[in-house]
Amino acid sequence: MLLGAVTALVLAVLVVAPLAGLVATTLRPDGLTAWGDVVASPLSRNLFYEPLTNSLVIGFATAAGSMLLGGGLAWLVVMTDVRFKKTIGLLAAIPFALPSFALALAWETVFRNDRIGGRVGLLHGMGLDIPDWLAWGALPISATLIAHYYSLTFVLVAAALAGVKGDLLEAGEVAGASRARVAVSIALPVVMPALVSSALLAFAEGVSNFASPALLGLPVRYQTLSTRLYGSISTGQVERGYVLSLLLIAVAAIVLFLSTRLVGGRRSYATITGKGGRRRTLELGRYRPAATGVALTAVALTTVLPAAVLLLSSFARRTNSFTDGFTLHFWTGASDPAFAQGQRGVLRNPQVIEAAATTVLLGLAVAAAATVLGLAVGYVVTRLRGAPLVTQALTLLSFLPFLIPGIALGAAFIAQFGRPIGPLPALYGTFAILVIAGAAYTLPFAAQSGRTSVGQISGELEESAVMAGAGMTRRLGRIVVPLAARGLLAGGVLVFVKMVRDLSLVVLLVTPATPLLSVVTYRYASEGFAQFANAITVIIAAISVGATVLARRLQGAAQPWVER
Amino acid sequence: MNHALRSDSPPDTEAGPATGPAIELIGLRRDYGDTAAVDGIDLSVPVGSFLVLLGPSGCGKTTTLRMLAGLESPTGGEIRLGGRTVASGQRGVTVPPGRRGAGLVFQSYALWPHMTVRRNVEWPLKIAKLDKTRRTARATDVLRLLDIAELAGRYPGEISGGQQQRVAIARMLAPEPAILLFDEPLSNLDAKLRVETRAELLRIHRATGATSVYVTHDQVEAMTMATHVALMRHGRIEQFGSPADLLRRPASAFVAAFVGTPPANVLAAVVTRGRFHRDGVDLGPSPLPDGTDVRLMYRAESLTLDPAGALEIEVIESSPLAGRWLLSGTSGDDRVTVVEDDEPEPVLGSPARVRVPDRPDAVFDADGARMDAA
Ligand SMILES: Nc1ncnc2c1ncn2[C@@H]1O[C@H](COP(=O)(O)OP(=O)(O)O)[C@@H](O)[C@H]1O
Ligand SMILES: [Mg+2]
Repeated sequence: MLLGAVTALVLAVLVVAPLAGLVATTLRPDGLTAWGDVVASPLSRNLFYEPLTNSLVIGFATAAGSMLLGGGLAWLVVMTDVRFKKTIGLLAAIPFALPSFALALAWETVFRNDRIGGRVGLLHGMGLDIPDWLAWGALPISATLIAHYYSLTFVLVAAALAGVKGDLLEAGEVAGASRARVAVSIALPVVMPALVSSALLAFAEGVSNFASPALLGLPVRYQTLSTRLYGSISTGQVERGYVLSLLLIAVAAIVLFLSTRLVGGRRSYATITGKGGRRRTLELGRYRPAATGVALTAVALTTVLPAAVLLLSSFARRTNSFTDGFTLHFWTGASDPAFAQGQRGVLRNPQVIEAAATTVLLGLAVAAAATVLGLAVGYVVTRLRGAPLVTQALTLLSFLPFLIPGIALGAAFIAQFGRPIGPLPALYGTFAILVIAGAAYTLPFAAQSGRTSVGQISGELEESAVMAGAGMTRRLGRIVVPLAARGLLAGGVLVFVKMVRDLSLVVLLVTPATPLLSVVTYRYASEGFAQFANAITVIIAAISVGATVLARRLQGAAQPWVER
Repeated sequence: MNHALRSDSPPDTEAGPATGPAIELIGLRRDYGDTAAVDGIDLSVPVGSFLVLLGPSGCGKTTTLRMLAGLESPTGGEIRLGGRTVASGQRGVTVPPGRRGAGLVFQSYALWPHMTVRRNVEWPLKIAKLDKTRRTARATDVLRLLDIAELAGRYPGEISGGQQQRVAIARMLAPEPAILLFDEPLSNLDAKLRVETRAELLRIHRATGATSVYVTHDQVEAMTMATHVALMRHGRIEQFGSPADLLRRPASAFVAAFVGTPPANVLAAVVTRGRFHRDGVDLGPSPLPDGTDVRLMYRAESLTLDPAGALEIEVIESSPLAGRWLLSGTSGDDRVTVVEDDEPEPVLGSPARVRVPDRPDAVFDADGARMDAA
């Protein structure tokens, strides 16, 4: 009971307070003017309606593309006899762990043209004429976002398909339906909820993503809601920024609300999984080589290729050129006026080193905080069935940040914690605000992993500790946490990776006192130092992937009683 | 079967005046919303009893046991252990589970998968603040008592179901509880192991001198193990007594049809012209007024196959039992079982006739309540 109340209070401070601050600020006279400016004034078209249209276009494209690419790959890997399933599956799961700006930077490195002057991409450098639609705006932004989010669709749909047990499909075959017919009329309906919900998630992410439009749209004044919001706040028009935040939250909330409505009605499919039995795969026959080729190309284009481009270009002597020689300067070089206005290589740059340390520290701190919160939420929600009100409040509060795009949440934290509150000092510019905002931002993931990992522990295991006279602290420490460790650790790593690669939440919160890798990357990229930006992106990717691999190891070690 | 454990006398007279009842339930109830899982039950058993809560699935056995353990709070009534009130629905008294001197073996065993067998047994002792040497000694003792000392270093996932159950029992016994609670402990074991474990549990019960409460839906377990049986139905106690009481003097048609191997036959009939009639078939004289709806009980051994018998049945199965034969059939909606010395001739699926004695073994009213003096 007490635990429930305390948890609810913490969540309220994390989630409700910033939102309340955001709303309150926009209701002051300045705020009301801002509402007018944004929604109904000669500026509105530029401030709101055009960015909104662009956001929606990108959202739709991201959703449709992710569904086709991710769903198609999942179907190939799980249901057919396509070759190299392991490789395809492994590669298709990677992009989601990479920062979304990695793909935007890679795209820029290849396709950038001379429209705005400055450096040009590889292809233009080779004398090819890159049209604007391929270099800037809706197409490249959507393409890079699809390449990022199809990964999520793949993972969700593949899991759902794998849950369709063989006998369910065989029952269809016995009834006389062809294999292909069975795939379409039995397997597809079963995975529909996963497909729809992941598509809508991709839509919401596409609408609110910051990194891709900032790198591939902003330079040519192609604005989305999130770049507009960033622009307003970073140029001092804070109230307008807050109004745009609220509008962005509204758009994301409507989309996700629709998604739960759409999927909710079909939830019953989730339980149709049948029992055991080997799944026989659809034979692709003469299409097999072609299908394998398409699948391998798709996953290579979204993982290996961008990674290679980023890595190679970070060694390029001349920006975005692979023909003018390579150098280690951007990684390890000392200050040299001939290079990059005398800046040192990233591994020698104290600012980058500090940013790396801060980033890892932030990732760890947020992962720890979110895991504790997630455990508390999971425990209260699954075990305190006697207090439905607390349980429902917690469920709602922990889901709420899902509706708030990172950049809007960042704005909300500035609105609430940017000024001193009573005796508390202003948190803006401190490491603490980053941790608190990060914990709020990642709360839905942490709470989800807390709920599933605590929920999997049978109540009787805890009750037998109750019988022995163990109090709640002891039960949590000795029974629940050790048994939930695997799930909690996985959730913690997800949170860590999400924080390390995140740009949208922190871009407004970071000050020179608290440098973070993703923000340093973004600055380098927008100032034209492509090699530095790419090098740091490679570092971030390495940390993310390293954390994931390490977590796998740890999970094995943390629970020696499993699979011995 | 040890005679000391079986008592044919009514249990409520056995209470030793010195100790008082080990367990006493007074008007105990537990409501979930509008439905009563346990609907006001009263019983009392002396120290050293083996109380079995028997009944069909959903009748409230587990809920009662969990209230005894303290994992669930009563919404009404009272629980007294050794004369001390540990839970009261009205006064909101609740002694926490760890301080009731009771141990529970869960149906799922609920062994902690991340602790070895020895740790599983020792951990409750650690919570009870025993020092290391006494913990080790006690754990070794109970592991020996249950014959699983050589499994001490294994994890629960590495031992068989039967061994897991022994560990669960050892874990319960380690803190030397005065009351042992079991929730369907044999339901996950195969038939042979079940019979062996029954004897084992009785041995442990005797060795500890504790009072046991044992939940099961299997009347054979109840009849073979209990000193006291509470047969439950819809959250109430249908009959409370020794196994022999339930067999010899069933208080209701439900009891009659639930206990015994095979259970007694209960046939619907109506009184006409001073005689019991079933679908026009005369089953003998009746002292009851004409028009009374009744349920007549006949033990299987009171019935015999006889081509001239009054009752016709359709044979559905026959099986050997301890050198004799059980033959079952249906008569209308009722099931009829007959015990024969020799393998019966009638063919499955064909009709046969049964001779019914003049006096039924018991008479119940249409609601199943006993009408003749028990
Ligand atoms: N937590 C609960 N909430 C609602 N109803 C319950 C709960 N626990 C048990 N019941 C109901 O109480 C009745 C008795 O349950 P239980 O004691 O488990 O029966 P038994 O162990 O005899 O099979 C059942 O009808 C069951 O559905
Ligand atoms: Mg039960």
